[in-house]
Amino acid sequence: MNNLPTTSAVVEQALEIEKMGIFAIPLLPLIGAIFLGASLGQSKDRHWQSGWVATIFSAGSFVASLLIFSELIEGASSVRFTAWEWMSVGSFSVAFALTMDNLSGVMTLVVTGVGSLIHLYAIGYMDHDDSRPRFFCYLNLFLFSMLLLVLGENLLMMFIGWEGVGLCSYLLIGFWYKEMPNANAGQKAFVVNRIGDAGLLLGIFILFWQLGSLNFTDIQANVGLMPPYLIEAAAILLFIGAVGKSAQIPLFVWLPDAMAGPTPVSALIHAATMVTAGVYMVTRLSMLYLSAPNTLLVISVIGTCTAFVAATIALVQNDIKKVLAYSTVSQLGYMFMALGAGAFSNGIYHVVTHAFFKACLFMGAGSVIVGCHHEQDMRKFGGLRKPMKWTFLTYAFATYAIAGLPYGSGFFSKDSILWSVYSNPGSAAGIDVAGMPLSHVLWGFGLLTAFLTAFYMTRSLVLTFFGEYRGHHEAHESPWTMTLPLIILAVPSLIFGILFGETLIQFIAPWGRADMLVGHAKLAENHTYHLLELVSMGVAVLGVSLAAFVYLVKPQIASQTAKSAPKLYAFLSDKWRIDELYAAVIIRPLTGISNIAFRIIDRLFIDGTVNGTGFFVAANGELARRAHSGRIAGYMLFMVFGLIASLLFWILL
Amino acid sequence: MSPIELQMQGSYLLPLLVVSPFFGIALLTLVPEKRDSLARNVSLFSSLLSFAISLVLLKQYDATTSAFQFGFDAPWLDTFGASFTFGIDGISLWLIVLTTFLTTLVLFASPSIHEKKRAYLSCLLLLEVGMLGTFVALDGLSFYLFWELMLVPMYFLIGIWGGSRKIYAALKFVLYTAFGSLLMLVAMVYLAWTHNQQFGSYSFFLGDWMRLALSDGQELSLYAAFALAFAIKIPLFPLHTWLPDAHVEAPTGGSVILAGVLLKMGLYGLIRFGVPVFPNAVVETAWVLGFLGVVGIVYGALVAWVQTDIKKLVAYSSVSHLGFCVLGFAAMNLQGLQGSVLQMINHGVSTAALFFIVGVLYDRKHTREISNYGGVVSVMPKFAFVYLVFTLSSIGLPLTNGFVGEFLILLGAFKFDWVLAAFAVSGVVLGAMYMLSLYRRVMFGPIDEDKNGDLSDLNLREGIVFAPLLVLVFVIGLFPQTILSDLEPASKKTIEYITPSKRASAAVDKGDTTSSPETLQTVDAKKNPRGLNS
Repeated sequence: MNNLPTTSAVVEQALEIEKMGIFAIPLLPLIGAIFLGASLGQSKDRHWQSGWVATIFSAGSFVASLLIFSELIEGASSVRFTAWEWMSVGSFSVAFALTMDNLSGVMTLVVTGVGSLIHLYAIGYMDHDDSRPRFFCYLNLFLFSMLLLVLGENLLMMFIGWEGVGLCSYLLIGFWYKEMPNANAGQKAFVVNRIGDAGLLLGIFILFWQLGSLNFTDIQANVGLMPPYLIEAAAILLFIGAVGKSAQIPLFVWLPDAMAGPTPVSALIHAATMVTAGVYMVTRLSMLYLSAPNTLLVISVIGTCTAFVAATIALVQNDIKKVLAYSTVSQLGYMFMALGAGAFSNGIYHVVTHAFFKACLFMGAGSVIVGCHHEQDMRKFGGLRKPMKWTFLTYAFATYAIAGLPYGSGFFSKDSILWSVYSNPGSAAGIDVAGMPLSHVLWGFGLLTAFLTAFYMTRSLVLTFFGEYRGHHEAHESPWTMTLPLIILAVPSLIFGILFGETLIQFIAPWGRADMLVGHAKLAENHTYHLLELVSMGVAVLGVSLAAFVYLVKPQIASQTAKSAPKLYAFLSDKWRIDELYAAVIIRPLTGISNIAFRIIDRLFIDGTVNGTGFFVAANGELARRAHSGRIAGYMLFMVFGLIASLLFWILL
Repeated sequence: MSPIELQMQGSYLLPLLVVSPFFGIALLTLVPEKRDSLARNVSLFSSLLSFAISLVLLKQYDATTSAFQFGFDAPWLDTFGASFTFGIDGISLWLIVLTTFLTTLVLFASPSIHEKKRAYLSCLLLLEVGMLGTFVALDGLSFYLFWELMLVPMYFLIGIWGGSRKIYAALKFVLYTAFGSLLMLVAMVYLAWTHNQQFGSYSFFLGDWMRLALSDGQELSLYAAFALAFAIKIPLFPLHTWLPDAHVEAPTGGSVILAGVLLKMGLYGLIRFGVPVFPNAVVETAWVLGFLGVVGIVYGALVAWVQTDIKKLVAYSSVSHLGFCVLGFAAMNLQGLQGSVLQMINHGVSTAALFFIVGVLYDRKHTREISNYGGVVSVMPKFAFVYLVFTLSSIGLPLTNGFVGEFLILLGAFKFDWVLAAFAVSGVVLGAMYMLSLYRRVMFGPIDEDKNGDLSDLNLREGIVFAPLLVLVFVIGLFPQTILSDLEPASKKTIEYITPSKRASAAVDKGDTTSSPETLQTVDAKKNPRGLNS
């Protein structure tokens, strides 16, 4: 990887390559999904094949991605292909086209690479499930949608994938549909996401209305032609879509519930890939966002709040998947902090490292859950480091990375984000909060979150793998199909940052702001940077040691702390009661309004009027019946009246 | 220069198409009683014939011109200037294909009806005559004839083969719609009479009406009479309350045709007669239609959300979906209008399918109460898949047909009035809410073995009904351009009616009527009053 373009200038010498093969990347998993879907009826003794079929198609897609990606390494700026004209109405036209450039190339490799590993893992995880073929069909379908999202050449192609991953998420969260809570969680995820999508659609309309094109390259190039207030409007509306998909405040409520799905789903969709779509989209439209300083400020604040709030909730969760779910929300918050500071490539950097360590953590948790006979409560784990050696080791490595301990991959990506937030020259720097620039306050919260992250992750590690086993059934290690992906992911979780971090940031530099590039080489001389680096290192070490001390040495401290502030504890474990707030403020009023609309407006008012008229007509009909007396003279009279009436009608009109 | 151009004069395809169902009705009278399957096959054969003719039209249709094609002109009531003048453009073409296609499906699916079979089949065929006639007529009075002709078989379909409150629903349907269309008739007679005043002969021909010089007040009040009839048929909020009752009581076949085709008549009428004859009034009142359309989107969705009867829920969802179509029409730009017509076709596919789906459940359990179901996916996996696809099409998921229409409508609406579009977008969220919540309550959850454990999955006949609809969902979703490019010339022409007339009305405002281009053209066209080109 040494002949990468190192400056944005090189990339701008656009060398576009037309290659039909790019369509193989999403089509392979689609074929897999259709094949599995068509063979759903087959007998149970052939179910084991389904996982392998899905994994092979997924791995095939990874290979195809590598082949296309190699064109980029060899100097192409993008590989693209148009399959057909999707819609064309008047001045509006959208092509069914895919493009891989540096940004989408990196994302594609992460999606297909990590995705294939999770497919492999799922073979073991879903081993005893009766509906395996359906599961793998959905999983492949998800990969197809995610790849359309990433590779789409225009906003509408991305939107296909965007909604497609939402559908797969819905299907997979509610995979065990016989339990109503699972089905509810799936629906909640879809509907909450659709709120975001509504915003996204409006943003798309503004962009088309202003620029006459939905192609990313056109939008990136022509943003400057739009009036500033419309740039801000489009940016914020599109960001609402990102808030939904990437589970930010105020739309994050669906993600914790989404843990109702099988664990590989949580790893793939709700940690490594789909939820980062919002980060990806904002980065795709980096020029739009760089021209929208107020929106960037909003993104900064929302990202920071989300990171902090979710981390506080993660502190008190006992379900291992819930800890990881809130951790994901929190880490996504970090990514948006980077975007808000204009450091898009740093955001993507964290997307990549997070995909490694969070997928590893989720799959480790899944391994523990299977090993402990479908128990998810950490209070019933403990001491698992002996029976589950590989799971423990990989979970420990991934925890090392996410906690931001020195030179793990999370350390580099998180640190680059914190630095970009601190040194953000954008509007956040100009706002004064209690004598400090807002950018420094946001940095402070980011640092606090880093401490909380180190603390709650160590807590989950200690509660699960150290101490005495508190469960009832004997725990056992998982099969190789599950441990192998863990090992493969644990390695980049540790070393990706130190080996490839710099390269990655340079590779996607064109989507960043020149002065925000936090390549370590550039900063080698910057003393503030080194100081902050030391501070965040210290904070991570402090968080880890404190948690280790509390949960390993003096477990009573934890329960005493919880008891000393019962209200705060309840508030945190009730997840800041945001679900309750929405039920009271939105759901119940809406149900009330709907019932009023149906029972009062529809039935009583409109139908009452109609039926009232009907009654009136019927009463007149009764009169008319009497008029039909059979006497000719009577009829004549009516005829005369009628003629006069129609004459009057013609004359008057 | 005539405002309307009829091409391919002398083609007998359209009259053949319209009368083709009569062929089936005639044959049905020969079928002995109790030979139900023979009767069904006869009617099916007849509807396939009509479908084949519509495919010939599709094949021969020339998408490069905006002229009316397959022109046909036969005298009817010469003294009143009424004639059977037929001709179609891209918009009517696709609605015709939809009509013959859905009628065939409904006849194919008819074995669930046992009572008075031949009468049932004849009603459907007669309904087909009415629908096809409405879509081909370019003469006001023949349009009205076919328009009212649809009422009669529909009345019987609801009133004879309907549910427990069938008489109430049938009467409500007929009175509601007849009330609207009577006003339309009055307006039509007035137009014919005005033609006599201005040109010396009565005429009901659309092309003649377009040349009439109407004062603003006349135009507005006549348009109001037309629009009321159309709005009831759409149905536009607040004139929609006949729809849930009619749908709930109608047999499956009736509901499919009602939702699939009949609900498109109102907007079709607005496009065919409203815009060309009353362009100024249409432009001036577009915001009213747009506003009511958006109210319908939100209101229909909210009311659908709280329904406990599956069929009623789907019926209210139609109110919401047709609200989208009305909004697209009101936007009066190419994206809005084409999106609106495409969405009419999409709604014909997906909502028709949803009523078939309700029919599948009803045939098995004889209840439409949502609470009587639950966990059905466990016993009916194929059905679950089919139902899911149409649910997704209904909520406009990309790659299904529903998305393309909805997106184009919203795009057009956004250009027209972004506030309306912003409210309409909420329909995207609400649609997901009520459709998925219905799906969840019917399909997911634990299954009650005693109640639903023995439900059988789709049989072959049902599978054959759903298969083409499923294919259409994805084909239109992936390649909407095949339809859109047929719609384009007709849509462009429709919008052109409005564009110059804005200038004309500005001229009228200045008191300068004589020099407006419209009036000049009117005088010119007098020489060729029929305006038929060969």
